[in-house]
Amino acid sequence: MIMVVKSLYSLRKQGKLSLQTVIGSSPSNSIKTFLPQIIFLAACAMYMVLIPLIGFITSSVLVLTFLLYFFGNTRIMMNLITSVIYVIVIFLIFTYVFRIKFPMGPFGF
Amino acid sequence: MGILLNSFTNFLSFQVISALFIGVAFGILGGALPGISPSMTIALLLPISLYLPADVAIAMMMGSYQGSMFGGSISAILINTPGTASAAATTLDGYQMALKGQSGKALHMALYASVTGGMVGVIILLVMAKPLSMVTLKFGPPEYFGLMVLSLSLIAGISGKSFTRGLISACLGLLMATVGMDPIYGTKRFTFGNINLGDGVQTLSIFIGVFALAEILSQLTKGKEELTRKEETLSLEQNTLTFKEYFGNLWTIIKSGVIGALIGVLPGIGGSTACFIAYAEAQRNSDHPEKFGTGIIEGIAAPEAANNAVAGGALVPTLTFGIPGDVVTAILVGALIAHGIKPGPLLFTDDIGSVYTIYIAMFFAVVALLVVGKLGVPLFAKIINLRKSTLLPMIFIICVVGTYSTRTNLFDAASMLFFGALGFILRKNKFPIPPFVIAFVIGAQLESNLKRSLILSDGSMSIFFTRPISAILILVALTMAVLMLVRNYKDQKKEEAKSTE
Amino acid sequence: MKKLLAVLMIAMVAIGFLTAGGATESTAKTTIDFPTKPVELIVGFAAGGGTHIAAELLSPEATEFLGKPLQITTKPGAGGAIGATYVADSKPDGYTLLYATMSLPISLYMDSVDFKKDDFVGIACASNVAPVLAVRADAPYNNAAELIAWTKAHPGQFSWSHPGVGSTLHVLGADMMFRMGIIDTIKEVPFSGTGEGTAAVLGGHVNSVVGFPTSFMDQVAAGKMKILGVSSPQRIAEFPNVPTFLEQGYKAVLTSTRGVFAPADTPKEVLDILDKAFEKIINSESYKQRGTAIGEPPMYANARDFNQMYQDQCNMIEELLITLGLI
Repeated sequence: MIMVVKSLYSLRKQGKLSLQTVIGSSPSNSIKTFLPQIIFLAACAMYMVLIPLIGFITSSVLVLTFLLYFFGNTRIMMNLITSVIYVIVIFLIFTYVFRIKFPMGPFGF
Repeated sequence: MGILLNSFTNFLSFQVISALFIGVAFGILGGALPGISPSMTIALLLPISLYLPADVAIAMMMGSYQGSMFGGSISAILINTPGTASAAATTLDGYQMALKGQSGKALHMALYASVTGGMVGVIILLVMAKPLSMVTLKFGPPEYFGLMVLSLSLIAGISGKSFTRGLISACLGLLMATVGMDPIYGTKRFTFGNINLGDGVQTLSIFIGVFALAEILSQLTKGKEELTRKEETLSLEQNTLTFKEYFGNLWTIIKSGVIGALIGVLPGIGGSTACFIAYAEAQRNSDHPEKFGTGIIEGIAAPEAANNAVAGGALVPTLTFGIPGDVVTAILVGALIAHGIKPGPLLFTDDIGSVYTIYIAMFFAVVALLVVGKLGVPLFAKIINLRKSTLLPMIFIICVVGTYSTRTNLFDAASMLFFGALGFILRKNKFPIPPFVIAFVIGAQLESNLKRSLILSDGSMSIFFTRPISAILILVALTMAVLMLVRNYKDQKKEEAKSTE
Repeated sequence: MKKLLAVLMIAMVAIGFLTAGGATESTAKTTIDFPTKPVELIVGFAAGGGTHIAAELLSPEATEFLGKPLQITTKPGAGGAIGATYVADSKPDGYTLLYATMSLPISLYMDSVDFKKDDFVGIACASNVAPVLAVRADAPYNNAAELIAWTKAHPGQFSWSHPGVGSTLHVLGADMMFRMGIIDTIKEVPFSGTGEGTAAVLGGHVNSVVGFPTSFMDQVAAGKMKILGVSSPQRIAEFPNVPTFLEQGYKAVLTSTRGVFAPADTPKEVLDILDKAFEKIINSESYKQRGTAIGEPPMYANARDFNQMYQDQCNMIEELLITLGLI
């Protein structure tokens, strides 16, 4: 697990590095233009760290709720409900039909 | 002929037909879900199939093989996420069509192309299994290398406006293909001591990253108003495929089917290469090559016909030599052996009945695909009606789940994020994505067959030119590359002339 | 927010520990209750591959003899090392087991892996397959001695193939060539899979392929290929007329065993339960039948014997890899 996180960090670092070097001359400006992408990728990185810690279901619900809000759906309660249903459906299909095992959190799910 | 008819009538039982439909539906579902590869789908059916009669088991597996090949296109078209590696080429035009609101048309084209391609595969298998099996044997490492060089030269055709940018993209793809263990000497390259990179970067992580995630990142540049806007869909009339459109592309479909089947005959190349070759070939012969990648049905017809035809081709070496043409047929061989059917040179003389059962199962699998697909397409097409703001985050989750599922390894999901960022940067800087992906897919085979050939020839390059097939392939590749350069140069001159006027 | 999360997490972990602690305390006095949930069997190779299918063979009887289903998960990559790492790092409670081949000792020495030999204990040997050396039927040699004579007469012209660098068959094949004393005068051409290698042999691109018997049975029956020798202490059922290398005077006897491993710190009681359950599974008629059908000749060895086999194999492979110059 630690290794996954570690490698993830190294990957992310490279990602950021190339983002700034490629995009250009004035980093402050490019950071502003690409702020949504950077926030999104940060959330993704956070997600990768959370999955082994608190399990696939919980972390996915958290991240999806945030992303739905971030992409412009302002009704938070609605987002949460959508996330829970969506994640559970995906989880059930992948686990019971295709026998994929997901990391579980400390609460048993 | 008598035996064929006999097998045919035996086949038409309720059990077999229902197994066929279950297989197809299961295959479509598995194919459409990213990360569930056709081989995983069939591997899941294997334990069940051991308890079924042989013909029922064969029917189910053939159904799921054909189903998953088509299923991959559903997610490729609707959410720009290739559900299987073979559907990567379909995303190029499929998703663009979906963006224009023509997802129904795109899905129908994919379905009909898949079905026709599947039929081409069956027919080729039926009529030419024996002669084609010789092709499998004629292809040694130098011939494979020649074929890969030819495929690589096709990239030039789909590199878009700028040849140079296409080349840079392709080189980056080849570079990514070198990650992992050297296929011949076992040296670890660019793995940074991480065993998760031991086998290189996962193909699906790259595909999903540069297609799906990069698209999500690009969509983020749009404002929130645009993302939350309700998607308008076209009326049903505009959204189905007309007869004219289908028959207009029939030649492309058949040709792509033949390409797919021929590539399938060669063990180890795989569906995604076949699809890209078919796509590039369709574009090269098109009256309007510049429109490829902007959402036209030819761009869906070619790869989709090819990937379903691969199945037929892959069965050629499987049945004639017992040498599986791809991972899926390898599992199929296991299942057949467990049922007492031994694929191999003796099958055609000792057990022709089983051969026909397999042919017929494949034929009906294609028919069942048509039925299930026809019923399913209107359902699938509804997915796209969601608002972007809701759809994109959901796609993101399924991308992570899919890349994780390929090896049940979170590392592959993390590397998908990396390639998403990379794909986004490439797109922003106008580097075309297809050459990158194709070069990555071809890279491994190109390298390992180059090295194998050189071991066999004690390091002499002459091996590629003294063997007729590889010599022809390489010469054709060189000619095509030169022609392409000339055309590119002329185009550039024209542009310059235009701009000076 | 972060603080709150941290506090919550700590609380959760604490509760987890408390309940877990309580549970072990109460059960330690009585007999252990295992298994109470499905047992996961990790396979370090791709879904649908030979190793995965061999592992699947174990699952139907598991519910009967183990009491809970055996859940097979593939974690492919790096020649099985990714799956092995996962099991070595998992909680040693008997719920995460490894189905491994000889690739486990191979990756111990050939790869830079994070696990050690003693991180695993063997539970049961499930099958044993002997590799063979196959050539085209029209080749000018029929046995090991003739092959050696031919390679002496034509140095650098004989080529052999295996399904990938670091694979079990690579090492077993290298052992054959080494024992015959020809490894330095022949070419090695790795392919990705026995199928590709077989096609190359049939097409005359390479001279020989090292593989498992089922890959060649039909080719031999059809008169397209012949087997020069079997690396095994005894002759094998698939090719009863082919002499072993040992009979021909060359000490290539390594076979590929497959079996079930557990993390080393698994409690003794749990190991005993698993040992007994797998004994019943592997010795059941239905398992034997399925195994023989798909070319996985069943061979059972109990935990103690299998462990000894594993230790011996490790030493043997280390020695072999050093002699061959592969490490």
